[in-house]
Amino acid sequence: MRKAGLLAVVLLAVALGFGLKVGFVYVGPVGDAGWSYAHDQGRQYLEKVLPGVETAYFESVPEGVEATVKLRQLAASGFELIYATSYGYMDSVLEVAKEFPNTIFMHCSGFKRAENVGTYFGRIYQADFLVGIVAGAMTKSNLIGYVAPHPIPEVVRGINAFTLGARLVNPNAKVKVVWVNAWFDPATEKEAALSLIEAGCDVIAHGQDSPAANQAAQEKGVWSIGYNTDMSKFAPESHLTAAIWNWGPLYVEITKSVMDGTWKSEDLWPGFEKGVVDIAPIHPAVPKSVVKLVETYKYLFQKGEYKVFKGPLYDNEGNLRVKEGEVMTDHEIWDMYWFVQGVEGSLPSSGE
Amino acid sequence: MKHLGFIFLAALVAAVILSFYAYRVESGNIVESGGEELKETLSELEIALSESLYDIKQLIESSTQSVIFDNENDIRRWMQTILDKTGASDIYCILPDGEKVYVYELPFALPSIDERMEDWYQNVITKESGGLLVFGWKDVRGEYAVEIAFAVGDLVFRISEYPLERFSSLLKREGFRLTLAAMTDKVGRKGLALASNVYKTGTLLEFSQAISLRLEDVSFLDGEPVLVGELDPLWMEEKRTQIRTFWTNVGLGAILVILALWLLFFFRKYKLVLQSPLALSTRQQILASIIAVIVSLGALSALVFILGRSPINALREMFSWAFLTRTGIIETLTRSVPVTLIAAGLCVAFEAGMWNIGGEGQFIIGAIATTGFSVFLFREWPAPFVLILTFLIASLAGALWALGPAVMKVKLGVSEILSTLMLNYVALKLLDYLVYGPWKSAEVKNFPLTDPVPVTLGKIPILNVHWGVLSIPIVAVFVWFLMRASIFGFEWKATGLGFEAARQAGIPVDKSQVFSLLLSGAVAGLAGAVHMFGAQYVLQHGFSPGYGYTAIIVAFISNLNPLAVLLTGPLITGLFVGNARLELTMNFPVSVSYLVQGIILVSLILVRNVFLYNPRIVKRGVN
Repeated sequence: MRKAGLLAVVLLAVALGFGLKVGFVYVGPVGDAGWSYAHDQGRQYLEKVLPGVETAYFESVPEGVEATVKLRQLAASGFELIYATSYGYMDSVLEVAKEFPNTIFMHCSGFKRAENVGTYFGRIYQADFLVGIVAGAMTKSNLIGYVAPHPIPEVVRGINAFTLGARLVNPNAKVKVVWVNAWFDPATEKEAALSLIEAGCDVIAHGQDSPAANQAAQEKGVWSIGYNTDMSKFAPESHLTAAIWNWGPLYVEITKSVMDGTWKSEDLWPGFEKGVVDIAPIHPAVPKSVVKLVETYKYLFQKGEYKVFKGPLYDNEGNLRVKEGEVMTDHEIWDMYWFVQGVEGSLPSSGE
Repeated sequence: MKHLGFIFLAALVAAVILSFYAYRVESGNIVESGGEELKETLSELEIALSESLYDIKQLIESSTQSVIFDNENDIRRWMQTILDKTGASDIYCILPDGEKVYVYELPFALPSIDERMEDWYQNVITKESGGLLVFGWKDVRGEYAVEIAFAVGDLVFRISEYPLERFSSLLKREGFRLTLAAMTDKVGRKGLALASNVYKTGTLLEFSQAISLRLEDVSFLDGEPVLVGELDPLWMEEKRTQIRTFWTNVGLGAILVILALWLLFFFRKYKLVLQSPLALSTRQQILASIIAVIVSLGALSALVFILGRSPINALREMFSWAFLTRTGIIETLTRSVPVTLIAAGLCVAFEAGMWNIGGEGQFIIGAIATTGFSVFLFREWPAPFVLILTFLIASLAGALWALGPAVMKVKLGVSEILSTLMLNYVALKLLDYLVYGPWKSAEVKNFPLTDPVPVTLGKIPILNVHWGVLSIPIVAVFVWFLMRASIFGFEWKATGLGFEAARQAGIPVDKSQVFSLLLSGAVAGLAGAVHMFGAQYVLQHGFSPGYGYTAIIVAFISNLNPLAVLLTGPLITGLFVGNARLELTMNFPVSVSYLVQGIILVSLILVRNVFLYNPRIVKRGVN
């Protein structure tokens, strides 16, 4: 019996030695409690579930040339599958992928693909819609503040879904947007949240990588909503719920497909049906009926039976953007760069 | 001075000895005796586990006979009895469809991420391990805990944070098998692998304190206990390193305390005398730079040592990656282009006594000008024209960005340190405004990126670094020529050495200061253009991780000599590239790199001041 055990260990060693090397590049620190933290949780899950897989990561890698050299370093160090987890890594990924045709790259939230470059993202806007319902139900002043990172479609889409959710239960709700122009800048995020609270907002939501806005809300005694991960431990009294990422299962799926050779370059954009997005536990102060409603919509998302962006949709200048009975295509949702009715804020005009 | 030198030497010797010691430990020379404690730990854990397993096995058997689960409440009630009997802190049940049942109705509708991540648990328990899975560990405080999961039919139960003390008085039974071994993976991380012969997979744990055991099946009554006696030496060694590091840390702490006390008494008898500052000789300046780099490497080694790794391994990994591997050299050179160029320009300003902290901003403005002109105006022009014209314009833009601070300095006496620094933030905001707004490319689906520059510099064959690298020697030699062989150079030097004296001597100090700042701005702007054409291509938020700030360190280390910059620029950049390498191979946090940058600058200033003021220690009351 003892020998059998030893044999198993030897087999194990062999399996580990020849396991897949998977590299990750994060834009923020892994301790940010937000975006990069969520990805790192996914990495750890991957390591736990697929024992043959060996992972390593770079954190706080700025977008641009810095990302190019880090990606190249991973590829040159024998990493066979590399996850680049920020949209700004897009061109760097393609540049390095050309140099290392045998390495597979997965770029998160981008849209440029190549033979060895795939893209993936999650429909976090579905979760934004659900937390929007909670926010809409809990606001008394009908003013919800949203601390927003960067004016890009990904964020705009989230704010829109959030607003649609809030106005589903509270047609008078308005969402005020303040731009921080950074994913991770706790000091500015906090200031933005405080300015929104002073402007009369009694629920603060955000799309940031840190819980600073939640903490500001807790200090001022208003409700708040987290993003990326369950941020309740940073603001336990204020934290209503959060739109959260759960990358683990997706990473396992992609990595497995690389291991058994079925991987192909494609765009993955799963949502609730794959469990990639979710919402954090809802605060007990939220009425049971609201929780039930949220759960109903969550169920519908899981079954793929509800679409957030369907007509009639007006933008915040009153123009009809999507006609009654029409549903926005994925392509349109991906490019979305206008606010729906109920959002108070503006987008930098684009050069088009 | 004698005494100080002696202390310094002693500390150095001690550090060298300690680091060699750590190196030896990590290389595996000490194996024998370190295992004892571990063996004890393991057998303790093993005994405790066997007790608890027997206990639970009994419990399960006795309970399952009498319980029929009709609904969730039945399960809950049954789990409550398990909780009561075992004293466990938490238990829940996983239903066949993946739903979970808790004893206590949680206030929240959804389980936390951690719990949902454990689908594999269910799979392993029901299919592979034959019904029972046990994790045991000793936490940092040295307390034992186990987590036990078991299956009854289709249901999976899990008990967590089970304190082992609860079992200690129970029966001692042999009869389960587990295998466990220490190993090193390809990256060099050490860990403990666990497996059983039913179970074909194992897991490699990062943290060395974790002891995780998986049991092969539930047939407790036969089989023999574990491989504890045949542990792989690797594991022992890891443990040994840990212990040694702890004790050496304590030793180091004690040495420091004694040193501090001794100094305290020393300075009651003696005092420090500073000499009025003289100019540093070239030899002293070079020495200061070398000492600063060595001190920062020493500080890094100390940090590595405290984190329980071998400094020599770390340094070897750093330098061999940055200077000896192809990819590392590409990385070092690519990153050193902007840093070295900006540093060459800064030499001029610093020489003339203009403390230009705005290299970063001038660099960004150069990059913005590059995109602005090449993408929007010169798009259709032939490549050589675009390049030459844009280089000129970017230089001009960098100079213009420095013009404000220069004029404010000479006309109003506004500190150029502050004004150039503040303009960095203005440049950053301008960059953001442009990439999010008017310059956003129409082809990138509203992502904040501009169109790429229409021409690129191309790569040097074989080396795979862009041709912009060649701009470093050209610019450095040009600047050196201006500084050493032109009237401007003389004026800058005179102004920098003594503003009043230079003015008395009839040197146009204002003009020379303004010109020096403009020139350094122009070079930074040029660096922006080279970086854009060579490597960056598109403008995007935060594309510069602070090249302009690193350049300040490089300029100072080079003693404001543009030719020295040629050497130190790639060297210092390589140091940071090597630092980043440690993130990958030794799991270091990214902040270590920032720390080393800071330490270099601080120790440089410190060493130069020591040379400058030549502190001597004299007995109190002598003069």
